[in-house]
Amino acid sequence: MAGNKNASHVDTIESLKKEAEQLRKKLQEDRKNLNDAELFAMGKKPETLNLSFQVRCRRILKGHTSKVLDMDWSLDKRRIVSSSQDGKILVWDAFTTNKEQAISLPTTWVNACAYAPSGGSIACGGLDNKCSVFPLHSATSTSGSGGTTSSSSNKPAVTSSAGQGDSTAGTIMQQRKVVAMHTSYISACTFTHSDYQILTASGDSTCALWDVESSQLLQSFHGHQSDVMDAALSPCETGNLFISGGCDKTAYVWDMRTAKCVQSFQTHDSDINSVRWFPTGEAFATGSDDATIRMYDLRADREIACFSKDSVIFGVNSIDFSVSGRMIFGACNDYLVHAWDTIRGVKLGALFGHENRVSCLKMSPDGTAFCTGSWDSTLRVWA
Amino acid sequence: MNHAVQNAQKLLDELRYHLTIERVPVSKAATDLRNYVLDNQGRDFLLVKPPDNPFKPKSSCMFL
Repeated sequence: MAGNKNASHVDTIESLKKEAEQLRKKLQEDRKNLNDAELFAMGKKPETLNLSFQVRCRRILKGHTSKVLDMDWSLDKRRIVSSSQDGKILVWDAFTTNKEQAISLPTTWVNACAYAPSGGSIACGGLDNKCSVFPLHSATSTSGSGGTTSSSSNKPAVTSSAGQGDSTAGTIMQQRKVVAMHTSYISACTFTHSDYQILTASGDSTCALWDVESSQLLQSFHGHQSDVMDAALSPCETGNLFISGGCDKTAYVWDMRTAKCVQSFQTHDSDINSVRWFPTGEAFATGSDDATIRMYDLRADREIACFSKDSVIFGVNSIDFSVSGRMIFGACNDYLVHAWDTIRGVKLGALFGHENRVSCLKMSPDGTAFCTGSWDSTLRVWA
Repeated sequence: MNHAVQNAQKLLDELRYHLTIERVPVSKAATDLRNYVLDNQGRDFLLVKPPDNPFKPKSSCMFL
C-alpha cells in the first residue's frame, strides 16, 4: 500500500513538473513577443561620457585589520559604516576620514551592515546567523570635535587606532539588540523606510522582514533554491517591492505585504552577488560571478541590457547606479571598479586603486561620490 | 513526499500568476529609462562638476 502511495506521489510530481515546464516556455514566449527594441540601439545617441576626468579616488579609509565585506552610507551623506572579516564595525566621517565609533563583535565575518535612516543606529550580521542593531553615539556626546587623544574608556577593548567614541566591549554589547535569527549566514541587511523594520537576506535561501522593537518576524520570503546573496528595497517612497538575488542565478521581485514573488528572472550563468534598483524603481540591475551586469525592466518583464566586456572575466561582487542612472559601476574580483554607460552600453573605463578584490560599492545618497570596500582592508571614496 | 507535491504546486501557482501580468513592450520601457536618464544627468555629480563637493578639494587643511 505504501508503495502505491509513493508511486502516485511521484507521478503527481512528474506531471506537475511537466506542467511547470510548459508554463515556463509560455512565459519565455510571452516575454519574447514584446522584445521589439534594444535599449542601446534606440534613437539619437546621447553625447559620449569621459569617465577618467571626473572620477578619482579622493579618500582612503584605513582602520580595518582584515577584509572589508560591506559598507553603507548614512543619509547625512558624509558618514559611512563598514564591516569586516575581523569582526569589527567602524563608523567613519568620510569627509575627514576620522573614525567615530568602533564596535567589536564576538564573531568574525560580518558580511552585512546598514545605517538606519535616522543615523542613530546601525544593523549588522554575518556568520553568527543573526542581524543585530547597535545604537550609535553622536560625535558630540563624547567630547568636542574629533581629536586624537585617547578616550576616557577604562578598558580599551578595541585595538584599532579609533579616536573618540570607542565603545568598550562591555557597554556596547549590552546595548546590542538581536533582531533577526536565520538558520544560516546573513548576506545582506537593510532598514526599510524607517528605523523600525529590517529586511535580511540569508544563506538559508530566504529573505525576511523583522520588527526592530520586538525582534519579531513579520514576513518570510521563500522561493530561492539556494543562498540569497543580496536584497534591495524599492526606491519609491510608496514602494512595497524589494528585489533579491542569489546563488540559484535568479533574481526575484517580491511584494512585502503579501510575501508573494511577483516576478522572477533567470538569465545569469552564475551566482548573483548584488542587486540594485534603477532610480525610477521600474528597473534593476544584478552583478554576478559570470562577470556580467544585467539590467531587467519590471514593466517589460525581461532582461533589457547586459553589460560585459571580453576583458572583464572576474566576478562582479557589488554594483550601483549613478544618481541619474546614466552610469553603472561594478566592483570586481580583478581589484578594479568597472564602469559602463547604461544607455549606450559602452564601457567607460576602470578605476584602479584597491590592492585586492573589491567586495562592496555604494553610491552616496546625493550621488556626489561612491564608496568601495575591499579585501585589502581599506575603503575608498571616489568622486 | 507530500511536501514535494506542495512545493511543486506552489511553483505552478507562481508561474501561472507570472503569466498574467501585463507587460509593456521593450521599446516603451527602454524609452522611459532613457528619458529619465537624459532628464536627470544634469544633476548627476559624477558626470557634471558639482558647485561644491566636499570630497574634491584634497587639501591637508580643512575646516573641522
